[in-house]
Amino acid sequence: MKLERILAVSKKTFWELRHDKKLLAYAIITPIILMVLFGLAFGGQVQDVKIIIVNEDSGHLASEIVKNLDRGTFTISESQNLEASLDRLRNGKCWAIIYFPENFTKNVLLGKAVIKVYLDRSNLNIAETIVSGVNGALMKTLSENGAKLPINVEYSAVYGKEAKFMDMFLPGVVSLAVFLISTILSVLSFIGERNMGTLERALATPLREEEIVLGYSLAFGLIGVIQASMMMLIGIFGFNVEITGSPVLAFFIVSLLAVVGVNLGMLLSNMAKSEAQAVQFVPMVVVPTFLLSGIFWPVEAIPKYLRPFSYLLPPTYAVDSLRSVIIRGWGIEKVWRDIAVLIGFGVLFLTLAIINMEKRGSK
Amino acid sequence: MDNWALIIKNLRKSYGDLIAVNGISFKVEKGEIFGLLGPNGAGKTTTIKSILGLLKPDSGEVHILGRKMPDKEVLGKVGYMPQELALYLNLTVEENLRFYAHLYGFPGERFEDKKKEILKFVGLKKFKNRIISELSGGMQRRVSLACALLHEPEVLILDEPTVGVDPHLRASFWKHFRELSERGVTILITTHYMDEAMKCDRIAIMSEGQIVALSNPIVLMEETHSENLEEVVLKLTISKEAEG
Repeated sequence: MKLERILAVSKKTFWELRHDKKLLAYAIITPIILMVLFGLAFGGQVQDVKIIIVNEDSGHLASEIVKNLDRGTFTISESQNLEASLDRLRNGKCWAIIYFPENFTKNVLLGKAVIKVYLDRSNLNIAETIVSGVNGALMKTLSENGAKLPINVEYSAVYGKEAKFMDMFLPGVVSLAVFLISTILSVLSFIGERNMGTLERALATPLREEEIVLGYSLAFGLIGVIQASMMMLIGIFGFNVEITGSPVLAFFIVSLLAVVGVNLGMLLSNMAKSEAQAVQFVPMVVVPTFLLSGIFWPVEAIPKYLRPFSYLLPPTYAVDSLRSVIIRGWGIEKVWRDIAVLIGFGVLFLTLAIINMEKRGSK
Repeated sequence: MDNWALIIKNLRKSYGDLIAVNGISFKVEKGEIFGLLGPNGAGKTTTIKSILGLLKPDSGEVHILGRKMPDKEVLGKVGYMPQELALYLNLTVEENLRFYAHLYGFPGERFEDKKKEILKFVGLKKFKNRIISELSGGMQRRVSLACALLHEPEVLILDEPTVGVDPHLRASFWKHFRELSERGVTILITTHYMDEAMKCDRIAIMSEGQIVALSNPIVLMEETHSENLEEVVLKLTISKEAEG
């Protein structure tokens, strides 16, 4: 094995990228778009939820609770007519009606006051926002009035005290984008080389199969680091993501994932009998990655019998360790297991890709 | 043994039921221009790819410059021009050459010198910064040849190198091949042009995976009482493709 030849393959990949603007755009712009889109779509909390207050209470407590509802979360309109309001709810004009019956304040003192919330639960995120919003306003009003609960729960955050949704989300989106793009790029480039005959032509020189595979791995790993840097910068400056742990460690994990993706891509394109077949492999990687690797919801939310598949997906480990580094501020001494598994995947795919290539050549 | 650049012994290669090369043997002397002729589907390209180790033969042996194949090191002394284009279409002429120079382990200055010489020979000096996909078919073939010649190989293996090349350039290619052979470079070449076959020192005519004749072209014409080489080939071979 010779370093010069490995580097020749890597350099050639960059030369191609320089001339092929479409490929360059795909490699550079796709992660930016993904990051911005996902960030904007998922990054914010639920806002501007339309609700109607029907307040028939003659006392002061109901209006105090209404005052304590968060005006950013809710867009509030008031009505005197419950029936008309229910019609609006049924017609999808608002998400909830909060109804304070007559004598609400008086009943509080008698211990039998009721707030009725009519809810459109067709969107669970919004429904949960409304429930917790109403509870929050109620608790606040009670404490302002000097009422004490017999039991209080105190929460203290060991990790992620200041964490926003986007902090948790960034590791997922970065892993998803880098893994998919590097897999797809390597499938495409390898199929291109095979179809053009350049792969075979290069193998008629002293170049060895493992040198090609390593050269590609190196080049796309570097591209992965560039993609990861851009996405993280967008996360940090665009969405105020804070990296609590070491940014170097975070970059290392992402580039490792990129290399795993490239190696998987090479393996897939070597296994495929045709271009069409290799392209068919892509959704087989994309869909499970999207659903099972803990990017959008935790692995704990996946049915038990599906979880083994989660642990077969390299991004699962990247997302997990990246989150620990970014939010918990963990160092290598705590995330080394995830990193070891990623390295294991990388070596496994690399070896299988080389073996497959040699077998193919000897047909 | 020392005088043979290529030794092929009982080479056999099949794809499933189809026997592409059926136990052929021949030797190519150092400095010789050896032509491989025969209709399409006769097994010429399979023979060449098996010699280079790009295909694994079912049985038989190949020696290049005394080394038993497959051997990656000896490929450093072999130049190969495949039938298909096999160039990086998104790269410039110069970058394609540079890539192969790296693979053959060429130091920088030697590459610069050799590059100039080779680009001048193939007439592409002005086009060295052009992207391959923007060049004409003939120019692309010339780049492909340049990639094969760049590292001054001792053995040249050329699979239909002059397809799509105009007569002037074809003539200059052959002049160069002869010069190389006089300097001791061994050339194994396949062609469908009879005038090119006449310029070979010896030719082997293949048909249905076997060598049906092997000798000097003039001798072959005499032996088969033929007016020209085309007649020899027509007499000795069967074309699968023409039969349909």
